[in-house]
Amino acid sequence: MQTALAVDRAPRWWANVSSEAMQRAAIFTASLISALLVWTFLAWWVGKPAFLPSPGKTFDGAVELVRNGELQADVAASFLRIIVGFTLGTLLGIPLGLLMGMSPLMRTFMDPYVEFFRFIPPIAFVSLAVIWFGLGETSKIVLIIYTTVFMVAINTMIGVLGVEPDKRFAALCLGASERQVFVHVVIPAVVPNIITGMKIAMGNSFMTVVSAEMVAAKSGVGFLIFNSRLFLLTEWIFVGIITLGLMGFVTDRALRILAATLLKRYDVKL
Amino acid sequence: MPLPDVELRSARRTFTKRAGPDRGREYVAVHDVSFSVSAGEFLCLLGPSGCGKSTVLRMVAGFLPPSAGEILVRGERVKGPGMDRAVVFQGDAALFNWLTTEENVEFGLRMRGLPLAQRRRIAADNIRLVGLEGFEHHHPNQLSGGMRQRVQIARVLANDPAILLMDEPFGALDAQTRGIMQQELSRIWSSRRKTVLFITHDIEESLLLADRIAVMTAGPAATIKKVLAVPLMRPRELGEHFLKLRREIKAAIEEEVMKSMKQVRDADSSRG
Repeated sequence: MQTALAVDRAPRWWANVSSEAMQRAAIFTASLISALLVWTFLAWWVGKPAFLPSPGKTFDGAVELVRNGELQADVAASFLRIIVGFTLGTLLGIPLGLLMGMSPLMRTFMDPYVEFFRFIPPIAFVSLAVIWFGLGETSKIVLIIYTTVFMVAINTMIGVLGVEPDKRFAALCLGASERQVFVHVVIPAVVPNIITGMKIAMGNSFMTVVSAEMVAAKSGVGFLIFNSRLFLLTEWIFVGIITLGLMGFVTDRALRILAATLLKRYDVKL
Repeated sequence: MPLPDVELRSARRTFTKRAGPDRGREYVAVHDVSFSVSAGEFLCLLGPSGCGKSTVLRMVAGFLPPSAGEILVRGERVKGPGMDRAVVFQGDAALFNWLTTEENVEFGLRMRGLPLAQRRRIAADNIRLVGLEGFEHHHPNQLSGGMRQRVQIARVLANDPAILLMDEPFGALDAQTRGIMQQELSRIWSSRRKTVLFITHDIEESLLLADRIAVMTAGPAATIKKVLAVPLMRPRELGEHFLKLRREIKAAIEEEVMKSMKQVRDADSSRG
């Protein structure tokens, strides 16, 4: 990651890599190597691959899953559900949150639902979603939309309520209309809150999609993990879990880079 | 006699207490406030902390309606915020932190739909006037406190309002920066001749800047204690006359501070 960032700044990236960055990269590598060593030792010590497969066996499992195309298909299936559900949820959540923030009537109207659904994780709705929307893509996407709308709307609303009154007043006495205040002051001011909501929603989307795929699906990383258990292919479970971690890392980075480049002026902190 | 730019006639403002043991009780912030500011005049509203100076300014700005009395701007009753009255706020919260210096300064012009080239020209003029050349593309969080107040001043001047309402604009700055900003404001005011209503609790600041000083009593139910003219040449220095005026105002303010301290003590002893 360090090198990739440095490349953006100058073609001769090594000229920009500080000794501090080198040190950090070294510690990062050492951390990975020690985890692999502990894992290898534990696998050897336990001595039952079906209980705890070694890193080597897990790697073989990964190669096998990639070769027959299953891993790519599952990653693609999960990612697609997340991207569709997350995008639709965000597109619905932002206007809903703005509306709740701007209108006390809407806020009061929505309050009982917000307080009620706050304690119901999307996983609780998996069975219901399957009954209503079937085993196909719709049920998973609906669940991701639910969790995303919720997180994005609430964070957006909090943002609107937190816009300093002086900002509105300043805009009004500079000649802005109420509509212009909303478009040119309120919306830009809540961008950091929207991004925070999206980041939380992204984490929730991963949890939701995996649990839904475990209960009812024919594809996806959650399905891979759950299905492998039936055949006692523990190394495939490991492959699934590691893949999830990598997918999360990649999405988080993508969101960060996107926010840092497109939304730089809004001073978004991630 | 020409109409004054700003005129308050027995303005009163009450608030309902939202918290504390006497929640729901009416609280009179300012009462029977009357004064006027004529066109091109620099008037300082001076008073101890918490006496309701900001309440008066916010009523003139149109952010708060008066509970009783009248507030007139050029003979017309104030109904809400308007472009004829620009406000320089105390803190940084009023700046748009997602916009650069230049974009902040041209905000009003953009809202009014001026073409880009014209906006850029007016913004550049005003950025130069407040001495921020070279910082056009900085965001507020990259500027010092004094520079951020300059952005606010340039932003209101770009809109060319008749009246400037300044709510302790230099209150949060360190003493040295404040001194520089006072001189700068004096210079800018000499070149643009706006009507200014300037709020402060700093006696010397009011003596450096104002044509007239309206001294307020301590709150609650604060009102105007007296209005003094400052017949001193600009730029102003610590002379005999300056010191005499300072003594006079200081005595008046101290009387008010003592009064408000006594009120707090009395309230405490009656409660205890």
